[in-house]
Amino acid sequence: MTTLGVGFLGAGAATQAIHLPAVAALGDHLRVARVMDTDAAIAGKVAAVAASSATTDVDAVLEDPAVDIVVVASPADRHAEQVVAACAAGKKAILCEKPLATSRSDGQRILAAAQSSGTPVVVGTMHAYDPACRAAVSAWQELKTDAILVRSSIYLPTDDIYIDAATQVVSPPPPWTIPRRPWAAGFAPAFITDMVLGLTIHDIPLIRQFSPAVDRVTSAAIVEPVGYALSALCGHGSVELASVVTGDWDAAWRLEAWSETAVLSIDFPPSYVHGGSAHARVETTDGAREWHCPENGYQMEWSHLTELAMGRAGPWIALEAAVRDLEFALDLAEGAGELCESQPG
Amino acid sequence: MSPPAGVQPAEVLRVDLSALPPGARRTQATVLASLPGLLSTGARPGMDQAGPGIAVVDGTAVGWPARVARAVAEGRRGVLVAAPTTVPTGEAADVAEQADSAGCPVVLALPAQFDPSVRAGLASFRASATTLSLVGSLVTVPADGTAQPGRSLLRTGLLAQLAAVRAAAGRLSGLEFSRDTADGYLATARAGAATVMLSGLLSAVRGYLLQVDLVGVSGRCRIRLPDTPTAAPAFVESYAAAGMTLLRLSYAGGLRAAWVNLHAAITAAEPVHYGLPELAHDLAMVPVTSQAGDINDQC
Repeated sequence: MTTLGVGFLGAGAATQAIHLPAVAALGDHLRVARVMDTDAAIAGKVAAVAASSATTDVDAVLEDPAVDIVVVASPADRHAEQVVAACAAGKKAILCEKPLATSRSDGQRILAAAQSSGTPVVVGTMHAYDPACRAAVSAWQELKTDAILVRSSIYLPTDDIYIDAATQVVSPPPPWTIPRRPWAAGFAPAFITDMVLGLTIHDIPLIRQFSPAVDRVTSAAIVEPVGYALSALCGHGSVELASVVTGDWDAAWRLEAWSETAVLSIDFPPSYVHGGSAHARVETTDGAREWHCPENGYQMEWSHLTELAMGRAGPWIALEAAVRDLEFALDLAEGAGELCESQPG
Repeated sequence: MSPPAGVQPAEVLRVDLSALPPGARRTQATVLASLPGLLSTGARPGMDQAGPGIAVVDGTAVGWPARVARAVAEGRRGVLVAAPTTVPTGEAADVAEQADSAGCPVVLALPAQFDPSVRAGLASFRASATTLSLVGSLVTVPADGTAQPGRSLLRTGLLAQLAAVRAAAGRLSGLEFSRDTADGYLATARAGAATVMLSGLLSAVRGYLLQVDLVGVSGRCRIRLPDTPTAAPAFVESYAAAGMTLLRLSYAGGLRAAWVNLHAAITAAEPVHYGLPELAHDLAMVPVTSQAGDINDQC
């Protein structure tokens, strides 16, 4: 059987803990062809683990005919140029880690490049691919009810706990930190943008199922030890987001949507681990339905990516929608940043 | 059971439930029967039958502060307001002053303020979490299809929510609503250095639900309040390095604890956990609404 070659741009914790296990699980269809990282030592170690070859050169991956699928797992500000380059290189499919990009213009640039080349692009917002989550959202949509309130509550310890549970990492990511007050001008907007694009972004495709556009961010605050909270008006409904990390507590990652006649609640596992899907539940006055599956969002994301690369399926999430997800996230982050910047202290 | 030698038995106070509708009267009678050493609705040997006793006011009745004022004027030794609902701020403040001048303790029986599990859990949380940084609370109230306007139902939920958050985080300030409609509200406030996010909505699915999440620098805590005035326990989950701990459940109930608080306020001058001054402060933060038929029109 012919297998598709996977080339990695970036060999950090996400590649090691998330993607290599997912590729291994699809070994009948996929093999690691190239591992690129700007740190040659990391590239070498990760490539060795994956029985592949290492490089520090992006072009070496893009020009390699053995690479069919490109995984963009580099720092977020490099995503746009690398996705565009991978499209131009005629690859069969691209998995871009979240966020797709860090600006609206880069999002549009990616969209234009992908449309021009016909390359399928999947964004690594794994919750959108979680099978229990997809089933629950689909059940909600059948109810034809409008959400009054959407709440995303993310309380996580440091990533290293879960990375260690998922792999033997050779390059742990730096922890989130915030400096002591008073903060320099521009700190709050940049910090909130980092958190929204780095963490809350996983839930944005789901939140947009209930609240498609941001009208106005109405409150925002940076929360210690490291986090933020914001609320926003979105059409006839409201959105409340809270993300706090590096607390000394168990992970809790919950998304809720409330209408007068239905409640959807989804409890996600923490990032990095392969512990099955979310636990999702939809309640109405007629009773409740629940979903949980052995496969998680990462596995489903990779199964789908493989099908796309083989030309056997259409995209579950259109790239246009993924670009709108990015724009929604930027609307939230920028609105929150402006509010925080205007507040004293 | 007799008190140990040397300990004075508590004074048993007489309670008058006659002003309550039948359902509420049954609820209160059940709770009072669980405190026979402190309170009684019937005659007891040695009890002062002619004295003023304690009045219980139906907090769901329109204009209930006037009833409290009457009880204070009658010289009652104390007043418990059962299931209080929102009223004009001025009315609450006026009767608070009157009760204070008369030395008549008034307890507003909002179970979240009194629940023993919640109070114990909060004490434990405060001891472990050095700084409270975020409070998030959601309340849902039943969309029961009655003629009562949604916003009026939501205001009652908001009152319970404010009392619960006050118990958890202390006195709130700067309450601001970004959405306030007949099906829900979204608001923010401050509690000291902590950001407070409040939301409330009508729900035909969950009925009444009151939940408070507390996030501190070194721990977090989730409180779920029972949906009935019975002795059903509150659930207090504490999250720390060792994992999640569900604190011991108390089946004493918030309403029973409210009565114990009132008894102690009358007989031992102990402070009331949630009374008219606290209510007046909370109500003063709630904006006047313009919805026809809404009881908060008058605020």
